[in-house]
Amino acid sequence: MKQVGLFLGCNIPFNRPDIEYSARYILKELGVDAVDLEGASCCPAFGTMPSLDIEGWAAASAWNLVLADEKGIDLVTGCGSCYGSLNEAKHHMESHPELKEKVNQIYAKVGKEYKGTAKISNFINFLYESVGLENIKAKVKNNLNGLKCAVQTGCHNLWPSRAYPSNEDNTFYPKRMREICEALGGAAPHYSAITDCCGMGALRSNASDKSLALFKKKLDVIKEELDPDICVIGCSSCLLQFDGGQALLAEQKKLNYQIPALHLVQLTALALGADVDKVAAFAKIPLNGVINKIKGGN
Amino acid sequence: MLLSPNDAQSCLKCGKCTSGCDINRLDPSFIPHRLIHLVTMGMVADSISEYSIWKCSTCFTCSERCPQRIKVTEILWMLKEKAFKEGKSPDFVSKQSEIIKTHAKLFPISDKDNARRQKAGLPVIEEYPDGLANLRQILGDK
Amino acid sequence: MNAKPNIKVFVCSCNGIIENVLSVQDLTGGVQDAGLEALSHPFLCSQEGIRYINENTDADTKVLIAACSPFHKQSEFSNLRTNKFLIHRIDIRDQCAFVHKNKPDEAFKKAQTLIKMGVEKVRFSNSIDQFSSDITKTIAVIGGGIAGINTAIFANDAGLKALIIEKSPYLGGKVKELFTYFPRMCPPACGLELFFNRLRHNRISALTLTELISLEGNPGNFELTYKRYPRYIDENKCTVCGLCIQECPNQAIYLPNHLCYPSIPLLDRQSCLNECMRCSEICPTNAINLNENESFDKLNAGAIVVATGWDSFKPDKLSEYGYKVIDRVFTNLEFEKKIKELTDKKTTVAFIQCVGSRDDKNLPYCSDVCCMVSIKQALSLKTLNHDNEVYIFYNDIRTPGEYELFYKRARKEGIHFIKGIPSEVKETTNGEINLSVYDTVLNKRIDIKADLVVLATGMMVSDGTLNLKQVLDKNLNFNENGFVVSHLQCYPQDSLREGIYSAGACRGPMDVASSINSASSSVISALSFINKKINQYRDFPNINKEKCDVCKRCIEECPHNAYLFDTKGFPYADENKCRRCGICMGSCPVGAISIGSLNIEQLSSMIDVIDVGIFGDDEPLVLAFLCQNDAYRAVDDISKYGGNYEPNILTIPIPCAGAVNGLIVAKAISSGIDGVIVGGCEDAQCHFSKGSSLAQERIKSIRDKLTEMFLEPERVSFFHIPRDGSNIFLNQTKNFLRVLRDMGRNPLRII
Repeated sequence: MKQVGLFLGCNIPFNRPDIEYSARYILKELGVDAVDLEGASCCPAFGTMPSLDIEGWAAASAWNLVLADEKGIDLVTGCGSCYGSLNEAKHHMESHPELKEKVNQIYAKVGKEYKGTAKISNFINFLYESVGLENIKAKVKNNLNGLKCAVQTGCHNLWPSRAYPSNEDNTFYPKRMREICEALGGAAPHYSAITDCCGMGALRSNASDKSLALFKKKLDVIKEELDPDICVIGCSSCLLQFDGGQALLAEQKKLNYQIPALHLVQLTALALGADVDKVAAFAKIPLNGVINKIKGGN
Repeated sequence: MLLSPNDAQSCLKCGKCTSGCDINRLDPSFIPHRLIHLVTMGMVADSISEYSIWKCSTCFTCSERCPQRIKVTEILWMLKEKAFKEGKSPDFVSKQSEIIKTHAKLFPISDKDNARRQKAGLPVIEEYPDGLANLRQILGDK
Repeated sequence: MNAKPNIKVFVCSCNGIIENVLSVQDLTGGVQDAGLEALSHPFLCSQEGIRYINENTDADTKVLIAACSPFHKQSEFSNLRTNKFLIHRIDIRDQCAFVHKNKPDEAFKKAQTLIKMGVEKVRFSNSIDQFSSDITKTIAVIGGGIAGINTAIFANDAGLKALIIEKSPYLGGKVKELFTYFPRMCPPACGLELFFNRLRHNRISALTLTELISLEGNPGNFELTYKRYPRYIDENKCTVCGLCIQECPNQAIYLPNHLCYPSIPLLDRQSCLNECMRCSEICPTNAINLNENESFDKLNAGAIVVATGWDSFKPDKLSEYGYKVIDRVFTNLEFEKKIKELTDKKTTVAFIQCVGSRDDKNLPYCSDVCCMVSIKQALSLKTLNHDNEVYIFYNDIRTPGEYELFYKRARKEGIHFIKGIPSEVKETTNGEINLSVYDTVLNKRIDIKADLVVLATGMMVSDGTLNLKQVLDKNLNFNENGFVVSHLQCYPQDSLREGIYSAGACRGPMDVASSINSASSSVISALSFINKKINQYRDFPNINKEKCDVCKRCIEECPHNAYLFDTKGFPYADENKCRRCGICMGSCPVGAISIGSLNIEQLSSMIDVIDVGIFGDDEPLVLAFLCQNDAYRAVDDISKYGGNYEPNILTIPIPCAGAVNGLIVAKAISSGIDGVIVGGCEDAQCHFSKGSSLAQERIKSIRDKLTEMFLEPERVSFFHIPRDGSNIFLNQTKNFLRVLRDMGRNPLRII
């Protein structure tokens, strides 16, 4: 793949631009042109428009797909919600032609048309399939040196599998991220809560105490079963929970340990030689241990 | 319409959706198979009067697991959409939707944000007034 | 002037019942006026009536009987001396005098027309001989599981030669792996041993390590080619002295099971590493030949029973249940073995029902046995130690009939039945297995810790059946789940091909009792086939080679794959595969195909003699071709309920809706007939599987042609008329006639 549309979404550029930095960094390292999608809109997230107005959701989502169609590119995103919402909207418009027709009636007013040619990938599938584990391995500059990773794929990167062009063989036993971490030199064992929800999403806006309780339950299992060096996250929304949420729990004295957390693209960027200060510029949990471990191997 | 109550009819009431629901673990008042049952019984009104439909985290595990391929999450969208139209939705949902309709983004980028981005070596994200106007027109109808 | 044709028309007055509406004398008079001999009788189906016909005919007389429905009194009229293909019956009673009794004039005209048409039908009929063929009185049974073994035993008991072809080294299939049978909880050794003894005592051959690789020939005389994999131990020489087992340094020779049939050890050539040859040297009977190769051979059989069984659903795809991730999660079939290893140490076991079954993504059907299997295993656990805790997570418990009592017993034993399906089986760091489930009765989430988890996986199509699908290709039909297709309700043991039957779980999920049941039914079918095949008529399709342009449509559309090419490249129907449905006759674009009971000339000539104006210039006349299996009989029934319809409809029974050729329909319309109806079964109920749907396709293309000719396409219609569809016929024809009247008469009608 020579070029790919970088779909940033709302969260990454606003909350965690360091993920965006990392994404741009790895794409460059891997020889892929990152094409910006000027004027992209919200995907829009599941907790918002899909819950109120399904046609409106499809129309808003289609905006981004139309931009991609116009540029003739496929999209890749680091946000599970964006990956889910864009693909679901596309899937629904494909499986319900009347919905596509309605969306196009609206678009005709501004002289645009939704064709539905652009595909939407996430960084997990992009790295795993479009780049390939061997190619990633070949580009590693800082081997992770056995860094123990607890991976979190994120619900919307897995389900509903019918909406996704590519997916895990078994969506309740995800392996792709684990294999990517291993290709970077890390270790990434399976754990029992691997597909549990992190608590982000509508619940976080709706009942943040419950959201954090759910997250803590998952984190406790990770600590107990793996006691990892780092949590590696496939979805920027989950990362907000794993990094910011964890810091909040620690602040509230509800947590007596802390596990650093990075997005998969951030970890990949580190392994591909990026500067840690840029890669993890906005991480709330310090990464010293992680860096030492990686450096220790050099 | 995208989905209708008919899309729930093949439910066998096995409860696998609820068994696997992380929200139900935390909040027993959210019972997906019960909502599906209400829909299959034609009791949509009862289901939307339950606040619990707004607790769904839309993680889609239920849809993924359902042996009958019922799109549980999407059935709940249908209920939420109906509730919203009847003015029975919580404020935060419509507020967030309004933000998207106005700014095209859930988190619009301010000058301050752009300054932070530049410091991190990232390009400035501009508003595209023409595009935004188009999008407002598109979503304005909705 | 030609010699007077040898045609005789007999008109029955049915003890005056027909006479009440129609004048029999006038009917016979009309025939006589046309120069043919016509006789009347008050009671043709009586012994005296039959004698009367026989006295007035010889073996070559073409006989038209105008009486009741041709589907009444069939056995009485089978006693006529004339060749049965020269006899034709038309109905002037049930579908004429009875239903049109309020309009005797029209009824008379209709009867007269039907007789004229009938005369044409017999005029162009040909006498057809019977022929005999030798049948191989052998049943080959493919698969040596419980169904196959019993099929062979039943066949042997019924006086046939039976032989079993089994791919694996031993007979007994899945049953030999079981711990117990339900509901009597006896060990399979008991039943299986009994069956093995019967095989032994009756000298029923069982070819093990044998695989069918091709099927040639025809029903009645199949030729099966099979491959025998090397066994290395000669069955006939081995005395099971055990010396080789003791001496083998690689443990490559062993008895895998105490229930081995044939009861000789298994020599695993793969594990035999160093070629020491010790076994063959020490064998006192020289039974071991390590250099044996695979071999090929053929056998003949009159009929085949497919009994290729089932495989257990592999829950790998559902690893949310921890299968192959957690070592204490088993499938129910694996648990049959595991349960033998369990001690009386207190154990908690959780069963999850419907794993893979009733699941649109895996097996969409219910696997029939899993509820009983889990209950059986649960009871075994309770027998082992009554303190064992057993949880069965279910959706619906299905224990039909008296199996319910077994379920009740399980309830009384304190087995916990929880209505709710867990979403996941997880192992915690301290090695506990946790199941979190929403109990839909309690309306509460409960968490169960279990030592062992059993996934009640269902029954799916076996590899054996899938392999057979390759070998038998078009000889056997399989449904979307891979099971052998039959006519499920009425002839569950029949495949769609004559001479091939099925038994056991290759038909679909079933338990041991049903498998044995199915074995006996397959033998009865096979037996009656072999006996009845001795005599049959040559009434299979006849292809007019002068007309045939070898378009291959008949080959394409024949639902029984009966068509082949002869040495000159023309199609011909294999008499043994052909079921005389006439779908080929309907398919032929040039009208070159006829079957014994109905030919194109007959139909064409029947249309020629119809006077389209009999009911008046503006009264529509309709020709209805009705499937004689369902539609025609539904119309027969109308008079039984005192119903009536307009006499404007002339019905013609046909073997299948698919037998109606578009040329005949077109001829009817161009002769000025106002409307044509083709009446067939519901698509899924078609007796010849696709006749009804083919008929609809053909009607559609005829309609397109009518449109091109600026004729109203509505003049030609297909009606679905099931066997109980009398009212459907009444309503549909009422509408049809209204539409025709609104349309006005057929512009091609000559007045």
